Amino acid sequence: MKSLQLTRRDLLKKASALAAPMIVPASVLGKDGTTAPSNRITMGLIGHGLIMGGHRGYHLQRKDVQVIGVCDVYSDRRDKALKQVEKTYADRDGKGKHTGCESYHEFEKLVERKDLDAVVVGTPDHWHAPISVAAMRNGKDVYVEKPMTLTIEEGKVMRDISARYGRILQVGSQQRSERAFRKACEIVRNGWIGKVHTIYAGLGGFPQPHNPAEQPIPKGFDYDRWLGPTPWFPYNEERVKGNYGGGWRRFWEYGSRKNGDWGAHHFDIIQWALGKDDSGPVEFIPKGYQGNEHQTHVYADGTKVLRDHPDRNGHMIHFIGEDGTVSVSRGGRLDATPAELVRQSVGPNEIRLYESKDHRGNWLDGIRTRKPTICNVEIGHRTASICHCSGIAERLGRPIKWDPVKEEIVGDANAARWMDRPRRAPYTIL
Amino acid sequence: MKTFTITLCLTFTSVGFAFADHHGGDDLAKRLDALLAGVSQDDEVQRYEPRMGVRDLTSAASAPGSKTREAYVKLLLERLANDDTHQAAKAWILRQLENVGRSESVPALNRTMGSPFHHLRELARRGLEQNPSEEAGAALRALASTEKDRGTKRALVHSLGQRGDAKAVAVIAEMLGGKDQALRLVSIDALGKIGTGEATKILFDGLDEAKGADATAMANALLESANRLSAHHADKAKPILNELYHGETSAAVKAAALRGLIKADPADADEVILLALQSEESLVRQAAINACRHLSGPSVLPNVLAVKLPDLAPNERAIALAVLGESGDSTVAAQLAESLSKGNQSTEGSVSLIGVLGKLGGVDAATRLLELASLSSDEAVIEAAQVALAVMPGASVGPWLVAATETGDIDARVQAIATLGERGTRDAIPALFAHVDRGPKAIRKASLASLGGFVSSEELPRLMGYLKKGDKDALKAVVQACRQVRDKDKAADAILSGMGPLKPDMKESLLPALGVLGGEKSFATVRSMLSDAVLGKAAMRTLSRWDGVEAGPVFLKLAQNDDTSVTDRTLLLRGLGRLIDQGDGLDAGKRFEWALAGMNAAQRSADKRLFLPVLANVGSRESVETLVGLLGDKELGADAAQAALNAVKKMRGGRRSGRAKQGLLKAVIRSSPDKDVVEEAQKALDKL
Repeated sequence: MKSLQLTRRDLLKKASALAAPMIVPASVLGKDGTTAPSNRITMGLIGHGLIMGGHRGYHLQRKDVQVIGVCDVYSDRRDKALKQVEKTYADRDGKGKHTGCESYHEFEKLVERKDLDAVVVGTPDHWHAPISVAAMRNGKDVYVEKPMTLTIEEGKVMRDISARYGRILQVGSQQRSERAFRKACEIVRNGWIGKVHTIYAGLGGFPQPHNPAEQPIPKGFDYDRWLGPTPWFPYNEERVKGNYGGGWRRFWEYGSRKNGDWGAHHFDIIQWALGKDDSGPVEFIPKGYQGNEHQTHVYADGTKVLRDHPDRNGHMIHFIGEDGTVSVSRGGRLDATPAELVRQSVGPNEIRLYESKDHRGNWLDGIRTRKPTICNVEIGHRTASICHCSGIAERLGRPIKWDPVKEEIVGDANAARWMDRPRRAPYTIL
Repeated sequence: MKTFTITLCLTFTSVGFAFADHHGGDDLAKRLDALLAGVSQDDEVQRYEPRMGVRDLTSAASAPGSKTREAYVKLLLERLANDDTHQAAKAWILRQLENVGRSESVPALNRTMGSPFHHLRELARRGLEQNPSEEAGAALRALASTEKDRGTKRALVHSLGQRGDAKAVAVIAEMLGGKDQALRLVSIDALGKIGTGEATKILFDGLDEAKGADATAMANALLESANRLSAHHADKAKPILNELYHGETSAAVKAAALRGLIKADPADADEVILLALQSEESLVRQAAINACRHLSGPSVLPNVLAVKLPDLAPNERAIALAVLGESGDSTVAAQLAESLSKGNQSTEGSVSLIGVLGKLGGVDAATRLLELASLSSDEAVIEAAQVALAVMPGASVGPWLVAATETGDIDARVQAIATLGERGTRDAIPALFAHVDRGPKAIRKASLASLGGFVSSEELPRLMGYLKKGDKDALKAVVQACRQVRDKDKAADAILSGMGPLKPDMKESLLPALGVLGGEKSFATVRSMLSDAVLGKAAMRTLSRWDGVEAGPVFLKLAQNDDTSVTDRTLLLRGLGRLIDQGDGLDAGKRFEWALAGMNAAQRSADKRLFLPVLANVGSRESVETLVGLLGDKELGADAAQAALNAVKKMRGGRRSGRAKQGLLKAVIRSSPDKDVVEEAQKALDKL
């Protein structure tokens, strides 16, 4: 017998790798283990602000990906991105020059390319849906940053388009691909801490939105296209800059402030833990309403999610059940009471959640095998709906009721108008 | 102006959500006017707060059951109509009407559409789009047909589409024949969104004549209509989808139409997919293969895919493999197994197929995989086959494997035995013990290894029975079993009760197994052997590697005993340091207490040094102070400085800890004899 003497642990590890869609057919691979150029996934990168740096670096080092287009409304960012792509590929191929990547000012022209397979959308939130929809209509797969949308209706359109055109979409709520978050969700889903009744999520806060004074629009920046479908306001760098402490993220016009920023991560994990990926809460109560100390949303079974409650055990998310607690943060931090739950294995008859160890890689696997990704369009839409409903309630200063089956705001026709926002001409088509 | 601004801000803050239904009309008007005055300030920065004040008034007026909505909207409309109202205020009023306006607002919005100012026209158009009244629809239709400005006309048509205004079809249809392509594209999109039979017919009739971007837009719009129709009128959706699929449309549209056709008529899915597999478009072929994932009933398609697999393009093959793996179709497994038998696959191709067989399971797959795992000369193939055998589903696989252990090639029998162990097939336990009792040497050895991998504490006494004759293979099986059994206490009982009659070398070999099992009984047994002349050293080694915190006080007590040998003390102190570092169930206070006691129990500098990184890891104020106190120590100072530096790096942020870090770093800089450490500390201090 030609035994390799694999241990049981080795086998199980390999088996779990088999369970994931990592089967790479031989003919996809070149003889040296790299992918033949003609079989690489061709990629377009759109929006080269802060978040795209990581995506660009990741996809440039993947041997099975070829970046063939970069797009931005800032000419200098576009040029820098193009130079990085050209240099990386020239170095990789051992050539002095690489000319296989084009730069684009208008995403429409990039997504129309017949030789393009997929795009990463790293723009501010108000461009996520229009670009993703255009890409999917052109038969491209999409990785879109979180939150998936600016409005609830955009999410419905993206879900329809993804299904209609059979496109694989991954939303960049990448905590789903971190072990500690998955484990926390498995602890909750399997009832190890009993029925969960309260959850605290730390989102933090931005400075209040403001009206910054008008400044001259920098040369090489297409401000009108940056604003796109949102209402026109005078240019100011503060309004458009990418900045995790503020910038465009603090304005309601371009996102849902902290609800869309961190909420798109933590509310997403809470949905996963509660098994509500195709559903959602039924009520959203803003902070300050009738003395409500914390922004809250409530599920049909009474489970409450409180934003920024301080008793989170030093963690980002803190689940409180009838028999224990589980607290989880980035960096693999996971605590529970009882403590041994953290090390307890999921039993054969218990719920084992979708496992991904690499959020971007999971998307690439989905592109190859057409299997749904770990944070697919439905999941992204449902999480974004929570972010948006929380924001709507905050702006209206009153609670709103939500029907997660019909996906409608209930009993408040004027609040329901906020489920979409009119788009500024000529950026109207979605 | 400054004073004015301050006064306004105070006013705005006081407005907030305080506005309620009981406020009289005059009061409301005053509040609104004060806020609009703020919105009208020249300084854009100062407009924010009053804008939010107006927004809050709008929110209150728009609440369900509000009695002030009408009065509030009337005020907004009056201010909008007033020529003296600042443009910035008018713009903000229009934004409010988006959220709170109804039919009463339409005339004013309509008038604003005639404004010379583009941004006001744009905001009025938004207001009409969001307005729920029929009057707003009528106004938009009229405006769309008469508007001269191209940009505004396009935006109006878009608004009609957003509203799904069925009455607008005729108006929009007129735009399709114009020269303005952007207008044509918006009109096509709007008709798709409206999606009535009339709108769809216009698009369908126009498809033949349309070219370029118009044709693409029309196909996309028709897809939207057909998608909507297929939910309730599949018969009406199919002709559209057929036209899109067979016509001169893009690959993306064809693939989408294919999906639509399958959805509209699942009964015809096999035929449609079979034809689509012959398509010239890769996107269509991919969609066809992927559609096999969602088949609702029995189908020949998985078998077709299995047969076609070698001929598929790489990207299509990857999808097909994934689809087949999920199909659960055992006849596919036979097909794929046969394909593997032909031996014309590359290693990677074989590995991929083996992965799929592992998912499908069944006896056909198991037979072929067992053959490969035991007879292949390719290590990657062997490994893949072993993994697949271990995880493959199918109720018949276990009994088949048990039968396979009885007869045939010895390598295949050994592999079958190993696989039963990997699969944890409890029904195989009697057969495996029978092999241990009566089988040839290789089969016996494999059976013991297999049993060790998955038996429970119930079977441990029987395994222990083989140790009496000094059976080394059985010993390995027992140790392995101790690692994986769940009921550790019961397993410990089995080991302890079976140990008595064993020879010393066997007992010694079993001590690590007790360490693996842990628990009070095992601990007490190992501890009691410390004084045993033969087993004492092995017991000490086992004890010093004990994982449970119950060992901490014992380690300390033994280390503090002067009779303990130098070597044993070092072992014990290392064990103590490890327990403190693991920290399971120990708070920072207890960890510090043990670390300090361990350091005091140490008699050699080398042993004391063990606790410096431990103290750094504890990271409490007391532990850091202890490290600082050691900075001047001739023997330990240099290592204490390094440990203190590491402790600083691990300390959390915050103002208070920042000060503590600074103090600590300064102390390190003052006291450390190591230049590198001083330099590193200085850098850290500078950074702070």
